Amino acid sequence: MRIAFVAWNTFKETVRNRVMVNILIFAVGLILLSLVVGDWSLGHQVKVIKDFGLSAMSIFGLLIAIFIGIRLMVQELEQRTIYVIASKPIHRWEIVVGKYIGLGVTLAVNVVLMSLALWGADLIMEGKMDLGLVPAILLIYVEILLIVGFALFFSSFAAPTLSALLTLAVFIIGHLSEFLREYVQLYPDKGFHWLLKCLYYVVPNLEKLNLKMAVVEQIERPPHAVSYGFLYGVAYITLLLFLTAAVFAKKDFK
Amino acid sequence: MSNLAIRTEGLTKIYKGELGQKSIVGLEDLNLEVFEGEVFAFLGPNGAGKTTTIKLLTRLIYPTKGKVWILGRQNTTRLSMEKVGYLPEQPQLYGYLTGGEFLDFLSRIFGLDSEVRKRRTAELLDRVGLGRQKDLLIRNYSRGMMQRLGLAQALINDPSLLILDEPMASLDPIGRKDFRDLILELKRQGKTIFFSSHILSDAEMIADRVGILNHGRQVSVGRLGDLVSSQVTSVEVTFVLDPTKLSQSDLGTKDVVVQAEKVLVHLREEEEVPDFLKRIERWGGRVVSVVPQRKSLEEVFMAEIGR
Amino acid sequence: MKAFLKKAVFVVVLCCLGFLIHRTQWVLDKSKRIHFVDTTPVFLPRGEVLKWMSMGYRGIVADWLWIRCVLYYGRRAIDEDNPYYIYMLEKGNPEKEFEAIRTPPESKETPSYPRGDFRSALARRSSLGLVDYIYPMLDRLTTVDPHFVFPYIFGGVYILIGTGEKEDAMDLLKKGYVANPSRWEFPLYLGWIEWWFFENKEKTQEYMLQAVSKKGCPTYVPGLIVSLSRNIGRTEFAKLYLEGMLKSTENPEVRKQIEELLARISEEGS
Repeated sequence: MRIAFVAWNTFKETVRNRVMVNILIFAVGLILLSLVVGDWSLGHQVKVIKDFGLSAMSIFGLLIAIFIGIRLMVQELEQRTIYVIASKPIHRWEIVVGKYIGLGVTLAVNVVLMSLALWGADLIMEGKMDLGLVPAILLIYVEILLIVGFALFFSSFAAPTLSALLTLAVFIIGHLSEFLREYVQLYPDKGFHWLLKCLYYVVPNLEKLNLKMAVVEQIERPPHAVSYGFLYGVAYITLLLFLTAAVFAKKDFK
Repeated sequence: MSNLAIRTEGLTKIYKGELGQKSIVGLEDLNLEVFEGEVFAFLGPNGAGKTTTIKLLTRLIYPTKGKVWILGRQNTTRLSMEKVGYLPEQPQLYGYLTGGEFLDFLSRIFGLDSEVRKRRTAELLDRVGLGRQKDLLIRNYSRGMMQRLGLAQALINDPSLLILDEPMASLDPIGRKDFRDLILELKRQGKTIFFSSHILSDAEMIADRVGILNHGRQVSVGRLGDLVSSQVTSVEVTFVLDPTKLSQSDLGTKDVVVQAEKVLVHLREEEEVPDFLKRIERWGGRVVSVVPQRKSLEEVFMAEIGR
Repeated sequence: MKAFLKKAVFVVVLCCLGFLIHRTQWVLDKSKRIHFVDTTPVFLPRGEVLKWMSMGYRGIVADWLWIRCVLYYGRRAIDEDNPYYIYMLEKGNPEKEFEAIRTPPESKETPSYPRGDFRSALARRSSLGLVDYIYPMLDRLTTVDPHFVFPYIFGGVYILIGTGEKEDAMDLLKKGYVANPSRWEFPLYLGWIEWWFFENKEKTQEYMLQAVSKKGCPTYVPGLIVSLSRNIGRTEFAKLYLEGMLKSTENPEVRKQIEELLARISEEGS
């Protein structure tokens, strides 16, 4: 229950954050802008709207993950607000998990609002709401949560700027992970091959959580793409929370 | 040990230096005992290790060596903090919450039920003088208001032990008086109060026992009265003597102040007093007062830290 | 009063400066007409590189490339030198129009045609930039998003009609067919190109048979295969093809164009 209280408190903190609100307004605006941009696509407005909407959700989720996810931990440590809560009868891991869940709930609300904007645009253009986008939206949400996990992990031991850069690096490498897999096949040399393979499995493969193109163009996908993608994301997130809790538990609050 | 609110054994904290820098000893081999029901003042100059000690007691940092017991329980688990209230130095609180929301949040951590939470939140806010600002966001609080709310959150769980780090530093004289009164009231309720302070006069007014820390080591500890009374610097003897007889006496002029018939003499040693009194009788004088001059806490403090 | 005057002077100075900025910019704009040159494909990396640079946003990057293509094509479509635009203006003999599009200008001597004759535009098509821009862009676009079908058809059919670049068109359609083997459009249009530009009936039949085997293939295709085997004339083949397209197209502008073409073919027939 203590986790729930910390989560609720974190939810209040993030919701009352002007940065979050501004990012959300911008995202919704961009989605609605796609109605105009779609006109230039020579009859493919629906595709453009869906691509815009899903990409906006992903990009703004990433921005929120970096700006607010890092701030969540760093602010507590720099402003020393952590003293009051950490000296109470609460486990440190409960603080970490509570903060994560709180931000996760806020992100869920953001994703729902952005989805509604997207479906609104779709309704205007197509006259119907394409519920086939739900798997992609779900995995976008999992991807954002994974990035938040990394942001929280890095910020538990690194300075804010470095944490932001590392989180961004994970995002970039995560999306290039598929390229790494192809590259591995090109290099049969054992030593190098082994190293690249290790790197491939350590870095999260964010393309496994990317169904944007598949849902928009209704491309056939493997039967368990969504469920296994979800499981992959959740397992990685759990690992990150474990590591963050372990680092946080041993930390001296100077 | 059962009536010890705080006990430390060989408590040491060494801060590891950054790349190429030496380690810093924050605290060295502290053996501290604070009895239940007393007010203990922990004094020392800046950088002495007072805040380090308090952070070690409240599990904000981990000791390099040594152990800590809080209310009979070793403070390696979160349960040791159940009956403890902690006020950090210049407390930073969540600016996005109101005072009421903040106290409510913390009381939930302690598992208090809804009725108790509401009642206690309202009571504490009134008690610290923030009753009217219940719905004001903390980010709009003044320094003094923040300190008051900090004290309120330290009392939210009706603790048996209060650990306060520089509690009166940000308060004006009225605030400090209110704070002292509150501490004495809490003491009457049987609570133990452990606080660090720079303001020696406040410590003199309310502390039962005092510990002095310097460069990470405890240099002095004891009852306030003992610490101060054990340090008699001189004895002031006042007597009345006819000026003509004074000039004929073997009094001398050193450490002597004469005002009409009244003579004030400072004797360096307490042992000189009986002999001197006999001399006054021989000269035909009349003793008015004999007052031992004790060191003030400030003088004790300055002596202990070597200045 | 003094404060009011200060404010008034401040506002007047601001307005004057704003007007000066606007006016000088207007004069400069008038003196030099913009000559539209778009060199984007030269500076964009290859499709493979763009694909990885997109980092999971391939759909929207492809959309951006597509919109650029559409806007470019739209700009060129109102350019006088655009052959398709001229073709629409001319409304000459449909047989001759098709013939002119079919035959690449390189194979002929370069005659001089009167101004406004679309054939003169065709002769100069390499300077139009359409081919230099559209095909490289479409190549990158389709590498980034291989399942975005319409760009293949745009390059493989529409641009082909305007430029006669059958090799580029075929390469694009073949690329699309490899990436989308279950789509009927690719073998159908490949078959059409084989018939119209190369007069290779066997290859055409082969492609059309493949098209028929795909889900969603229009119902007129089997009829086309049969008529191919009966060695009917090009005009009749074109009529059958256009009638089939008319049934499967809902876009009113495209329908209008097809109906106009059909009408001309029917006039010729009668």
